Amino acid sequence: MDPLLIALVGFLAMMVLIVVHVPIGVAMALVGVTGFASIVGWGPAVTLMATEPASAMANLDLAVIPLFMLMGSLAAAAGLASDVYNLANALIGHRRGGLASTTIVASAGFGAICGSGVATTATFGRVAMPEMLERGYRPDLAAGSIAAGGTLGIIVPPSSMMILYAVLTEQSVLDLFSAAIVPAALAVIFYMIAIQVKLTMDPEAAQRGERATMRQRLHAAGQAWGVIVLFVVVMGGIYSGIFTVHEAAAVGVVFSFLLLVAKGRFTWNTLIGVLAEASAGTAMIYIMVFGATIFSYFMAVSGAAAFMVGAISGLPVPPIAILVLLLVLYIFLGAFFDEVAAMVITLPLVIPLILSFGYDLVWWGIINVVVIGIGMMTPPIGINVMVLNSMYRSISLGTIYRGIMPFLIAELARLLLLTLFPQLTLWLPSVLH
Amino acid sequence: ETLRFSSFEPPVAHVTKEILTPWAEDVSAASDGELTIQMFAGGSLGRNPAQQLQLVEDGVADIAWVIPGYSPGRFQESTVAELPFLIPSSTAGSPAMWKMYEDGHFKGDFDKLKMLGIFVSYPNSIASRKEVTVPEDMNGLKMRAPGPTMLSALEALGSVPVGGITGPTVAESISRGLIDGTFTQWGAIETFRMGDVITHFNTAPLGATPMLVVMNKAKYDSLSDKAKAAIDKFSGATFSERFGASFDANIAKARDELLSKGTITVVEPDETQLEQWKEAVAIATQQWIEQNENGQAIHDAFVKAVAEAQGTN
Amino acid sequence: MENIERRIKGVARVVALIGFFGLLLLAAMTTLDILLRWLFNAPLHGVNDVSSVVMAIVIAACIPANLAMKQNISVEVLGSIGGARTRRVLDVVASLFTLVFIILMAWRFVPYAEGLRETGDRTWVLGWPIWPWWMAASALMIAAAIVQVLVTISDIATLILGGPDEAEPSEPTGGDAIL
Ligand code: NA
Ligand code: NA
Repeated sequence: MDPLLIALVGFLAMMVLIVVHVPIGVAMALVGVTGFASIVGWGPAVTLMATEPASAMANLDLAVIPLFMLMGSLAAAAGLASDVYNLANALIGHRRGGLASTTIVASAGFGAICGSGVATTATFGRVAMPEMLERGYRPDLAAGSIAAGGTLGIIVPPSSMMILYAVLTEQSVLDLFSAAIVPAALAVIFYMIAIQVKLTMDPEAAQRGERATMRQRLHAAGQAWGVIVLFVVVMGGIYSGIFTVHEAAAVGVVFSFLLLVAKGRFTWNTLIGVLAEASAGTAMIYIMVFGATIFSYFMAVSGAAAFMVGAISGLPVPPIAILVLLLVLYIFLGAFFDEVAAMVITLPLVIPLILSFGYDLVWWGIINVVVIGIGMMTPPIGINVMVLNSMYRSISLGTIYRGIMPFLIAELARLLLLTLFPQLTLWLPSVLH
Repeated sequence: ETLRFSSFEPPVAHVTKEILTPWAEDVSAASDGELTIQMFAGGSLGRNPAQQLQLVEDGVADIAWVIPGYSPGRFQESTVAELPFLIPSSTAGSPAMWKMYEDGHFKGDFDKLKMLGIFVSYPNSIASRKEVTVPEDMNGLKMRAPGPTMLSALEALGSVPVGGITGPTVAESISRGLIDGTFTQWGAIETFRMGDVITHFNTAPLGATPMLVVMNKAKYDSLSDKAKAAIDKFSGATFSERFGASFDANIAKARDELLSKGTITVVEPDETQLEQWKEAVAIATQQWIEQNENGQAIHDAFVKAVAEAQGTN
Repeated sequence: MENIERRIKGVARVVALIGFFGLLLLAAMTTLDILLRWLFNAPLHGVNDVSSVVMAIVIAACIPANLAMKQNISVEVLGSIGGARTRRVLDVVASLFTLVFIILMAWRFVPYAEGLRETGDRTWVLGWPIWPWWMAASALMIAAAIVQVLVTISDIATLILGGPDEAEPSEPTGGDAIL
């Protein structure tokens, strides 16, 4: 059989496996091995089942993911999210829609020490939701700002998603982190605008709060020292060059552990909970990476990527049109599939395409993260929405999705902007180099 | 028959584009249609440089470009090339490496694979963001940790080895001050975009990087005589010469380009200073000889092989 | 059967916890290295060597618990459209494929570690032999395969004999650790 035909059959077989609930990493690995075997032979193919996982397990770039997960879990357990929230509240809580804006800013602040969007959503679901409901915020706006703010967990560096992308495409994690800063700032600004637009059209959705006194502000700042120090040590350490990203993650773990103790919140049960959470997440990601790398061998020997690049670059369409089509496809797939899976599965085909168009892989990584963030809040399966719904059964999915709409529009606008102007993303890494 | 040749380097990088790919084309052409050697560059068959050897052993790839330094404990004899002040150039060093293999000084892992080519890089020197003229200047400098062979020398110089820095991250590590410098050569400075972040380059030759092109032995044995002949024609000493000439030409080109910008000061130690450097890093050679079986014999044979190769050039 | 399953899950969880406690220690060691480098210009030796070999075990230690608790990234749309029976059939299908996957992995890991012993691969700076670490990782992979055998049997039993109808919606945090 022609290798290209094998690649096509393999791709379809993988889709079928995924649809019948086979975990994505498992489906990719099994199809990858079988496909590779049918082109090269079973003997070499099965060795991939050890060599690829082993090389992922020994990869210190990838090891940054469990470390940042541990850091995020420890920071949440140490109550750092409440500290950021109170500080943001003392500063901007009295403005129109102040608590919603507070949620966005605090999510961004917490996102700067936590690499996970789901964790950020769950954390502010606990911290911000009761506060907003109590002050008469309508549930849709409250839930919308938390679910949208939650995406900042992966949009603001550090971000597990960026690390995964960097490892799978061999880009520098630091480049992705620095490329993400301007887009992340834009996300916060766009979300704040979305809140104001929403309140202009629907003034009853939120009530004004009281202005905090200088004393209260200073007190809140004093309480938030842990987050500030953690942020300065970790991100400051990375960008200033005192340590590498891997070292920063390790320092972050130690530091957030010390904060947990210093804040008097350490118990053995807390520690066990934190370790269990981080280890569960880690295994999932590694199994997906095992599958993705094995599958990419199959795609490589089949020549499918080269064939696709040849076919597509022969089309009389500008590259940007192809890319926009790809993004629409991802968002569409995200409706009933899973954006992360869609991205990981298609990487071996898409990356050569991006390179052949002459685009930057760091830029594409940031675009991918934005798309995945959009997927986290779009129906029917928006993970952040699910998390909130499971925490607050009384707030229906419909209400939350209604609340999401202004933020979703803001995100689509940001995606368009970042797609059309790659320099927004690439400027900062080029300056830092 | 199609053979898969894996390179962890991007297809546009010098060694892959100008040496390995033309080599593969030459062999394919000489085989009269018996062989097609297909390049898998950019890590499409394995991204990790350390993994390349395993790819060939497992039969995932048939041929691969391997850097033994990434597999410590293997091809141990070849690390003699990492010792300071032995190798003047890739042109002289690469044929010397092949001679060592032919004369039976390189054994162990070398016998388990079909060796198609054995080479060394141009010698590594000190690229840094501080002026380094004499060995004392290295005191307290944070340097990217080299392999075990030069680590003791680095410490003897009073430098601080910093681990965990890969080729692609060297430039940003220097620019952010994580390290002050690294042992490297002009080609790598260009490839890894270090040109903008280093200010000084001291030319003392502090050891080179051994490299191999290996083939799965069973695969080679299974080929027809005609196919074997095509491979043999371009392998061994011929391949070493080809590699050395091209590698050094690229170094010269990279150096000229980098120096034309005027941002890097080249420090060429004089005779006295070279002696000081030799003395300061001698511990590396001493330890290597002690720690390796037949260390002295291999070392001496290599000195001789390099001198011979240099004489014929 | 249920009892054995619960006990196995418990053990798997403890193994994962021990593994991640190791990660905490690695982080502490790395931090110490940085502090010493920063303050005294005298870093610890071979921290990366230790990290890379210990990481292998940390990751391998998470896998049995991951399989025991079915915490993998999967797309479970079909099951949520179909009824309880559809979901149980799909559970068995997914478990069987996962079983093939983990058995293949465990089966290949042993010769991989054995190969490292024969070739004598060592860590970069400290020169530690690598194979014992990978042998330990292989043992954890075998444990994971055993766990998956039990999970699969339990899924088949639920399909045939029926069982508690898991009406609870699948935990939203389950599939999206990366997010
Ligand atoms: Na983040
Ligand atoms: Na979605």
